[in-house]
Amino acid sequence: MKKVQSTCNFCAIDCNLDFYVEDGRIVRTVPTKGYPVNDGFSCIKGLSLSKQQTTVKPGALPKIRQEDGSFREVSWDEAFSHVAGRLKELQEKYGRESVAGISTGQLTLEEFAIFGHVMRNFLQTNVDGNTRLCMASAAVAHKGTYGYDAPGFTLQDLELSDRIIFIGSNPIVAHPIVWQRVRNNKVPGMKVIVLDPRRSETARNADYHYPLRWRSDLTLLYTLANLVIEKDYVDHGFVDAHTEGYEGYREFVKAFTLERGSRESGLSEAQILELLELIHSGKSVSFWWTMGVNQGYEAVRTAQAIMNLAFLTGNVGKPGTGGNSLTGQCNAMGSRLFSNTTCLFAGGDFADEKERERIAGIVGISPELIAKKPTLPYNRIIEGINAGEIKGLWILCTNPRHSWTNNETFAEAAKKLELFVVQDIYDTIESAEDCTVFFPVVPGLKKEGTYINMERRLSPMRKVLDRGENEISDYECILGVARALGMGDAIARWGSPRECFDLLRECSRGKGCDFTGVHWDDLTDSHGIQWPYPEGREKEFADEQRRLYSDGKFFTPSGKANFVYEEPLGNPIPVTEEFPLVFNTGRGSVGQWHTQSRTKEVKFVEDVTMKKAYLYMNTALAKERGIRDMDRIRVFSSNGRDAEFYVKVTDNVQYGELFAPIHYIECNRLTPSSYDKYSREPNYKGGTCRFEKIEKEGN
Amino acid sequence: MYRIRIDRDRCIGCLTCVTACVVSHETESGDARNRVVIDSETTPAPIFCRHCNKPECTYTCMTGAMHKNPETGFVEYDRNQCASCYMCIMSCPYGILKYDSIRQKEIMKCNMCVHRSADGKTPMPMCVEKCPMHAITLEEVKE
Amino acid sequence: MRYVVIGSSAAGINAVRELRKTDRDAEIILVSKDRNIYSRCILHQYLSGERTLERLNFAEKDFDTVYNVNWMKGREAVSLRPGEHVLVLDGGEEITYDRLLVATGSHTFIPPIKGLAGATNYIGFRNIDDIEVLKEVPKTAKHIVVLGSGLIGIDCATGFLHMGVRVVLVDFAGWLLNKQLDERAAKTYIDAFRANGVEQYYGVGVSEVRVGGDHKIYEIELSDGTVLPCDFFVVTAGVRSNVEFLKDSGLELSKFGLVYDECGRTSDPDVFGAGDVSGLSPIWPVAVKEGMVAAANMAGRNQKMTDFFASKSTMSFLGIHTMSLGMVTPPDDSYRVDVYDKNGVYKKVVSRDGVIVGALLQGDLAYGGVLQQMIARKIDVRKVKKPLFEIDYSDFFHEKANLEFAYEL
Repeated sequence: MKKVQSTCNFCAIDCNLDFYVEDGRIVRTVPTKGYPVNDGFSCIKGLSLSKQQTTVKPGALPKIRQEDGSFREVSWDEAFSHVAGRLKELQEKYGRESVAGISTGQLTLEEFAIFGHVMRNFLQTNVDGNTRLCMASAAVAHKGTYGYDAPGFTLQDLELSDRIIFIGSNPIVAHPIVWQRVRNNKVPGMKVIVLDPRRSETARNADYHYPLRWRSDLTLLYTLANLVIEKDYVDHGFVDAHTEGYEGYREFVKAFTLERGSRESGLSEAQILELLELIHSGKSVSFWWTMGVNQGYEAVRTAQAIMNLAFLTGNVGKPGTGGNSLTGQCNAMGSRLFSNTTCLFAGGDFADEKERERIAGIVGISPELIAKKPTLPYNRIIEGINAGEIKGLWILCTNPRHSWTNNETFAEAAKKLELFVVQDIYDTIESAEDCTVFFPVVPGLKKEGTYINMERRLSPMRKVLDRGENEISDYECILGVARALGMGDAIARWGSPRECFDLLRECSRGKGCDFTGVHWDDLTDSHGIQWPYPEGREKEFADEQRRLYSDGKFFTPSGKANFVYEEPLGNPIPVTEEFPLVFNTGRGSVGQWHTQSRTKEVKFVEDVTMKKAYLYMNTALAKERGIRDMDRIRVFSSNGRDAEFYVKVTDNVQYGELFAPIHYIECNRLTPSSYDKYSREPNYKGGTCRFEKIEKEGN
Repeated sequence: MYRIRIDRDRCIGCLTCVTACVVSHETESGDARNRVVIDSETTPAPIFCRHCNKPECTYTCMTGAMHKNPETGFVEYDRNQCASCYMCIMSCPYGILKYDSIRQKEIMKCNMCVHRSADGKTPMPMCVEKCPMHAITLEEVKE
Repeated sequence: MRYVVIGSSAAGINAVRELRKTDRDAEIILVSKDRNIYSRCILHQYLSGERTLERLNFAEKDFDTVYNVNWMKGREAVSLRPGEHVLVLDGGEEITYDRLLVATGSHTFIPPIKGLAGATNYIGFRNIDDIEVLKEVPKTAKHIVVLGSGLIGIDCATGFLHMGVRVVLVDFAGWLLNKQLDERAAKTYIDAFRANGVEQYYGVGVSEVRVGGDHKIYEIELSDGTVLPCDFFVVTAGVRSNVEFLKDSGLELSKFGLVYDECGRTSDPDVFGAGDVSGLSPIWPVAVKEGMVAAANMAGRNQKMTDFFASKSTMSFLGIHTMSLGMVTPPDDSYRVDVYDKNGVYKKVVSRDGVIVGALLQGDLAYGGVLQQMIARKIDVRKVKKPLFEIDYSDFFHEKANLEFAYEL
């Protein structure tokens, strides 16, 4: 019996688990005791990783769609040649940017990196990832405020804070281990505060819940800032020494009076003042946000307003503080830094000549071939396909047919593609329906690589199970196409994930995420290592649970953090007479991940979840419209589509909203094609709708 | 004796209790000794061993492997004495029991996590400890 | 108060426990032919050597000390005079009692096969002594034939197989485990046994055994004329209640065995019965409960036997597990049959008008206990929106004040 410690590849907590393997199968999964992140516990998803590909498993060889619509199984070499050939043909015929890629936040660092290197450097085209749907807003917000996409917290801060404020975040469902760490918090007088229009599971277990109106969070945050300044709750020492733009901010927020804040948020003035006093009375106040903030139409500014509050009150860089973004996917942090999509490897600017040269030298390609600009964002890629500009698409480890906002636009796009390569562990995912090439790849249990979690911790994925014949990993698949493309020297240094890791390590030298002190073998059977961890300074960074900004120094040229703010936009999709309800969306359960591709194989989860799409409706609204629990309704979205749902009646959602869990394809059938101005992250929670009851047939 | 009270109104089907059960026993095969399902109205229902006063599993056990501890009131399972005849699986009126999914020899039987306590008798159910919604709580009851 | 219990198996042992729990001071005498406490359900594990005699014991090691019982081991009851409250044992010893429990179980039925009466090399599969003999048999016998392919016959075949000995099975029924399985579920076992070298003959009886000058059977003839070599014959073709000693007692007996009501009372107010001795529901859990109920009533507490659902069993042979409940083969088309048959898992539910009457689970028995309740209580399952195989307790969930579950119907 052998034991392998590896990293879970679901959410961004990146729990570590010990897998015990006997006779080629996993006989026991034990969450790693002592691992700083999860110390011997996990959620049901990580515990059930051993269930992957036990009931659904495609053949190991790739397949190419034939004229008559059927698939022909081919050898890997043939598949690589085919795809490489088609990519080149399309580029020759229609232009460089007529092919594109959609990557993910759930593969290894090395896999994003090689995909970004092949597609963005060598092929000089666009690749975006599903990280765009999740963390783009936080990343852009960080860059604007800190000067680098560097969330400063460590998970231990949840145990040290005396005011834990969740904004648009529901950790009981979305980040169970985060909540377990909150429960470990023994700080006397600790309070949990939730800002969410919905009475989420976390709100139900919080000390305070502020059910603000949808998308009034930015106004409320500016109002709070104004009140902090008016009552002089400002930590002037901190603000003067470590921030820039305070005077402008102070002037700006004057217009956000208590009266305005109350009117727009729907909270009473007393409630707002109560929240203010909670913040002020806390010794270590921490703010935590997730998709409720990131997936809005002014997400970046909202995130920055949260960080602004942390700065104003001096709650930055100390234990238990910070304006902290809870990342969604297991390697979103890794993909933000190393996918080569929105920045060079390790976070540099595409426009920075010197930096491009440095990176080129490390990865082994001519500087001319390094991407010159950031990628087209996800929505522009889909629009480009629909407009006939993009003819070829290669997606990996993602399911846009289901998860893309207004997902019918993806369905249309898929049909227009001349080349549509889907690379996944299942050929049954919705997105694979229209593919022209399917690349079956192994799940995380059969490969190795590196993940970076939400607190900047590099975590090891190590091979747990052996591969069967012809089974290959995402890395090897991309490498295969790269060689077939004739990359030659340009891919010479990329022979394996381990070699790639060394390249990326070198790229990080001198950058914010400098992890030159971390070697591949250091990560095996370890407690993970947070960046920065520069070579030669390991002793300085020996603490296993480190936060940033304790010295008040940020990544901007001045070393000071910026107050970034802007007048709130009006809601681009306000409720109207025709569509009077907000179509709110979000995570529905712990057991279901996103589109259920993997979690459908877990019997524990299947036993306790609904098989058909459902949503939550407020009790009073339901009563008015004669809807009872488990009735069916047809929902008409302002995006022009409609879909059927079962109804669960509850007081946990407000009268003016329906809340639809994201795990059913009907949900994103109805979400809008609307994006944050700066991050281009979809406004998943901003749709509007109306509904009709579907009368039961028969009796 | 102690039993676990189940408040279905609070249960959200997050399966933290199931995770806790597997982790507490470091179960090979990843089987849990409890389960959560949804009923026909799709409301989650945690179904846990009750350590019944009149335990059918004990009456039906023909090796004595299932037996009631007179001191704690818990129905205990001795896997070494068990003959894997599965009569208990058939007899539990609430369908809580199953055999392990690797060797099909061991019955997945709740023991109120007494193995976590120093004296080996005090119940310390990890499921109760970890439930984020306080849907399951340990309570003292009269038999 | 003196209680006397005859029989130290499921009914007798549990009765003694219950009596002692109720009455700390009463005198309890346990009379049994058995010298040890052992579970007859796992005798095949003793045969194969998988389990020692000690591990067959389903009760406390020092049972008689723990419960303060005067245990008269190895003694047989030979007659009863209820009017005088006197029980007569072998050797003529008489014991008086205030209350008596008859839990004497049953013995192997030896069918009147031509030639059998003159033979010595045959035995049942019922008591520890039978197994002691059978353990030695493979040393000299090469052709062991087992008559009867019910649970006991298959136990025997499996026990031998574990020792590397292949028996021949003969049964009049169309397939093995005929009472519990339908043809499809039986086929799995028939194929598995055949693959393991166990020859099987179904649809035939044994019409004659031929015995040599040494009084040993050397071959048998089946009812279809087939002749098979046989140097040892195991009979598992049914049992008969141990009520011989009651024939002159005046107690009411039926053609099955001792008659007693749902409180365990026989036709005599101070004589009670429990377990296989009634000949009605010869399964372990019924014996246990009847023993407890009878004991409760003997001690003055009024309790009734409520669980009469006896057509239920589980089995595990050759790595194949099956649970059988109720009516698994419907007699006509008025019943609805739902079947799932994939990848080694075979599930079948028989129902009519929304009530499940029978269920067979093979290959996956998880959580099957709920089906027993559905059948025994005749619950209308039409409100359940799940496939019948996946019915669970959630739709009937009810927590009592003391946090036990109950069925909310």
